[in-house]
Formats: sequence, C-alpha cells, structure tokens
Amino acid sequence: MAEPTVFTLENEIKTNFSGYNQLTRFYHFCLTRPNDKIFHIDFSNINWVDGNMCALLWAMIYDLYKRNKQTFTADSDIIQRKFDVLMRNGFLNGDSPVVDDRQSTVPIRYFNCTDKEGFCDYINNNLLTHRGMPEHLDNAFKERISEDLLEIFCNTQFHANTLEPFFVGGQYYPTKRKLIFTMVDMGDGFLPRISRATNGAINNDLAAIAWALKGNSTKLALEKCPGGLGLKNILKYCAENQGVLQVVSRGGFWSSDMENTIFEGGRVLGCPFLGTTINLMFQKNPAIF
Amino acid sequence: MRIVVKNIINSPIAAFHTDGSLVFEKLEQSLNKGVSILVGFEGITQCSTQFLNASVGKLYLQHSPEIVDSLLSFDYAGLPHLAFKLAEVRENAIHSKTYDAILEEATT
Repeated sequence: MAEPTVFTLENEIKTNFSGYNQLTRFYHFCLTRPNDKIFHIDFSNINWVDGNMCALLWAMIYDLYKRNKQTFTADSDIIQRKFDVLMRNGFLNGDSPVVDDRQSTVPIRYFNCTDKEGFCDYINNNLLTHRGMPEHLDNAFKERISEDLLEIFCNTQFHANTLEPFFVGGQYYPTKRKLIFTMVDMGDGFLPRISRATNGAINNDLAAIAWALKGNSTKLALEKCPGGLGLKNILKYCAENQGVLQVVSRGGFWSSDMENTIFEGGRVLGCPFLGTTINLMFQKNPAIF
Repeated sequence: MRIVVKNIINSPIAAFHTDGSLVFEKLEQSLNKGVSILVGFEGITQCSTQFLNASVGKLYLQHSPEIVDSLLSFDYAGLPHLAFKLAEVRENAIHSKTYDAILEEATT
C-alpha cells in the first residue's frame, strides 16, 4: 500500500482570508495530484481551527473524492488532544455518537439542495436555539433570520447550477460571545450568471459579489422575475446587530468588517475553490459592544 | 376565488422559485380574467422572498400595480411578518420595472 501524501496545515485556520486561503491551498495541493489517492492531513503544526470551517473542508474533501477518488486521514491522538471540536461537531467522529458536552458547536451537516424541510428543521432546531445566538431574539426575529438563511439555501438551488450537496456548520466562541455559521455550495459562484445578466459589464468575482449585495438580481434580466432581497436583508441584519457577513465566491473574498479598511471591496484568493461560501457572525449581546 | 398555497406546493415551506411559479400560474389566470383572488397561507410555516418574488412579485412586473392591488388579497395566517415581506416584494418589483424602463429608454 502506498504511503499517504502529507499536507501540513500551518498556524491556524480561522474564519478569515488567511484561513480560507490555507484551506484552498490544501484543496489545490490535492487536486493537482490526481494519481495520489491517500492524503494525510497533518494537524501537528497548527494551534487553532475554527470549527465552523469544517463545513468548507468537508465540501473540499467531498469534491476531491468525487473527482479523484482521494481519501484522507488525520492523527486521531492529535485531534482528540488539541482539536476535539472536530469530533464534537460531527466532522470526525467515525462510528461513535456525536457528543458536544460543551454545547459550543452547531453540527456539521450537508443537505441535498432540494431538501428545504431538512434545512429548515436544522436551522430552527440546531442554530436558532443555540446558546450562542443573540439574547434579544424574539420569535418574530428568529423567523426572519430563519427565512433569510432559507433564502441563501434557495439561491443555491436556483442560481448555483448544481445538484451537489450544501454543507453547513457553526461554532460558538464564548470568550468572544459570538457564533459563526458557515454555508457552502459547490456551484458556479456568482460571476457566470451575473456576467450573463449584465452582458459582461460585471466581469470579476469581487464585482459580482458587490453587485449581488446591493440587491441586484439576475432573475430580472434572465427570467423576467424580480429578486435580490435575501442577501441584502442579511447584510442589513448584520449591520444593525454588530454581526458580520462574509461572502466568498470563487476567487473573491469579501467581508463586511473589511469596509472602511484598505481591503474595502474585498480581496482576491490565490487558489479559488468552487461555488460560494457564506459566513455569518452573530454577536450574542450587541448592546454590550 | 381562494387558493391555498400549501395545497398547491404540497409543502408547509414555501421556498423555491419553482414553488412560486406554481402559485404564479394560478394568480396569473385569475388576473387575466379580472377575477379577485385571495391567497391563503394557512399551514405555511416558512416563506422565502424567492418564493414571493416568483409568485407575487412577478405579477407586479407583468401587470399594472393598480390592477394587481385591486384583485389580489392575502390571508397571512400564522406568519405575522408576511405582510411586511409582501410589501417589500411589491416595492422591489415595481422599482425593478421602473429601473428596467429607464434603462431601456436610455439605451435606445
């Protein structure tokens, strides 16, 4: 049996440009070695993993297996000792039942892109009831968030041009009093449809993200149907509640907390992944900050 | 005339564009005949704007707002903020139509 090819993760994987870049480097490392079938992911050199980023990592592993029949291993001792969050959130648990005794994870799951009932059930019973969600959420507010997240799920089903699964997961960070929720689709990303709808006026990933966040929709030009409220409403919620919205679509990385910085407008990723990843950061008690 | 969304889409979750298109067909038929129609949301637990855009918003693109407003009414049932969302969808559709017309005029 061949020795596994090793990919060593470095420093940390947080929900930011650097963390996303490192995971996409892992993806491209494996993608460009189609004849290597077994990879060992070395966690010994990193000191932190944002648990919600497992949704993205799982999407990558899924795609690599589908394309190249590649499989992956990791050192279980290191995982249990340093990153047990990857077991508590269900990402690496083998056949054992998932137990999150710290109640800090929102389980890593995937959904068929037509499974609206499953997705809604997960959002209502795993995310909105989580102890990490903002304290001021009344039922009406929860319904609005639930429906805005449903909008993202629906966008994948309609816009992303894919039948591949939709990956989700979250993590609560008690010391920072924030919960990060990650959603990953494996479709075409924003640009192809937006470029078509604008007759090529929008011609790069960051411009496509900006265009969508303004409330524009390809449906008007391509299907003669209005659209564009979902993402805009989520951005509005984040702005009003000290939350953060991150949109990563193919090579474009944009985050609402990069506005009024030198990275306003977004950054370009060196090695794009497929589709679109949306990260939402909820602040538990916005009144304090 | 009354239609019940849940019965048309066979689900308590009115989410997808395709769900909305099914409802749009019923609404469009009534509007074309000048028949008033009440849209009932009883049994619907969640409703996305994608659904509302495809079912109701599209009506405002294809007909004058005055005609749609005069013939279309809603039973919001257990969804208290649905009225607000429908107003938002209506506004969005009417402005989309206005913007589209301006663009067309500007480019001819």
